[in-house]
This record gives sequence, C-alpha cells and structure tokens, in this order.
Amino acid sequence: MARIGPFAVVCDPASVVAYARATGYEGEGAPAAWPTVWLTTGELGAALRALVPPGKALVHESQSFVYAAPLTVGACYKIAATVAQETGPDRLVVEADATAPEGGQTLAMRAVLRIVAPQ
Amino acid sequence: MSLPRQGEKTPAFAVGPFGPDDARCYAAASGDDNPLHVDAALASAIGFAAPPVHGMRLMAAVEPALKQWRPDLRLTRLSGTFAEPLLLGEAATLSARVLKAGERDVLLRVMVQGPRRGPSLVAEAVLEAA
Repeated sequence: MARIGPFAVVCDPASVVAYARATGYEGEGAPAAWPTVWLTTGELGAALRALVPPGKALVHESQSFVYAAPLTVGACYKIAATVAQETGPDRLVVEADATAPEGGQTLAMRAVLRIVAPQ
Repeated sequence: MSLPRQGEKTPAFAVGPFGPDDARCYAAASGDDNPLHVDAALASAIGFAAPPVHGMRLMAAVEPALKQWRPDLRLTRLSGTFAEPLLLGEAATLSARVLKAGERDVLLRVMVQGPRRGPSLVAEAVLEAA
C-alpha cells in the first residue's frame, strides 16, 4: 500500500459550477459527488495516473463519500490518500481524507478503480 | 420537521437519457477522460452498442433527486457500486427506500435502473436535517 500526499487542494468555485451544471445540481455549496474531481486532477490525480500502465484507463467500480462537514466552496484543504494495488482483476483502491486547514477531517472517500484496456 | 419513516419510498425520478454532449460535458467537468465514455467507435469495438455513461454521473444524480424529495434534509454519506452499464441514449429511473430511520438521520437504499435486468447503480445515502 502506497501513501500519497498530503497535497493542498481547493474546492474550486469554477470546477464546482461546471460539475453542478454537468450533473443538474441546483443546491448550495458543492455537490456531494464533486470531490471525485480530486481523483482526476492536481497532484493526487497525477499520482494515481502514474500508477496506470500506458494504454490503460481507470473505470469506477465503486465510490463512497462520508462527510463530517460540508465542503466550503473556495476553501483549501489537505488531502492524503492510501492506494492499494490489486491484481486479478487489476484495480486501485484509493482511500482519501480531506481535512480543513484548522484541522479535523471533513471528508473521507473511497474509490475502487478498475484498470482496463479501453481498446 | 419529521424525518422519513422506515420503509418510506421516494418517487421515481427519470435519469437520462444522456447524449454524447452530456458525456463530453461530464468528462470535462469531472476530469474523467476515459475515451470509452465518449468514443462510439471504441465502445463498439469492445461490444457496447453505445458508450457507457460515466458511473459517477449516475451517482451524481442521487443528490438532486433526494433534494427534490426532501429539500429540508442534507446528504452526509453517499456510497455506491456500479453494476450494469447504462449506455448513452438509454433512459433510467432512480428510486430510493428508507432502510433505517434514526432520531437524527435516515439511511436509504438507492437504485438506478436502466433497461437491463440488473441495476446500473446500487447506492446507499444518509440524510440528516440540514
């Protein structure tokens, strides 16, 4: 199991708006599923992509979000993750915790990502 | 304000059908750029009649539906497993039932059912007073 981070991440307003628009979310704040963006972008996203062999891609098998508090749009967080690499079939199991600057876990998320050859 | 009771069901909510523009929009917004979700030729080459919808796009449909049902409640937990792919152009239905009702929150089982026998998403959600 590899540890990744912690990295600084932002609950980016433009990204939240784009995700809300793409998913029909009309509520206040960030959609609960929005932090999936942290798995594909920034340093965490890059670290995960580095674990995927060339020519292969990731497909979500499962995902969870557990909030201790809502994310604040525009706020910075620290995110730290562990990644387990499974075989037969090949998967990444990512567990990530986002904490607010003042401390205290805000969000725990877990993703099971199947490594597939898309062609 | 009263919380939903155990066994209470939500209405059925339409999910999709999604088109290629929807898939591209979600890919751009989420950063999930797996070409399988947007490339019809690639999807066809591996046996799909159309590209499969991003699983997370289906999960992202849960919160708006539950908010429409009970705008006074807030989603604090959401987890799900993606089963049968839902393909672009296919309609699905989202429905949920309260599995457990506590004093402060409720646990729901959420299903997104497309045209195939199995569900496309099996999820659980926890709602509490906003």
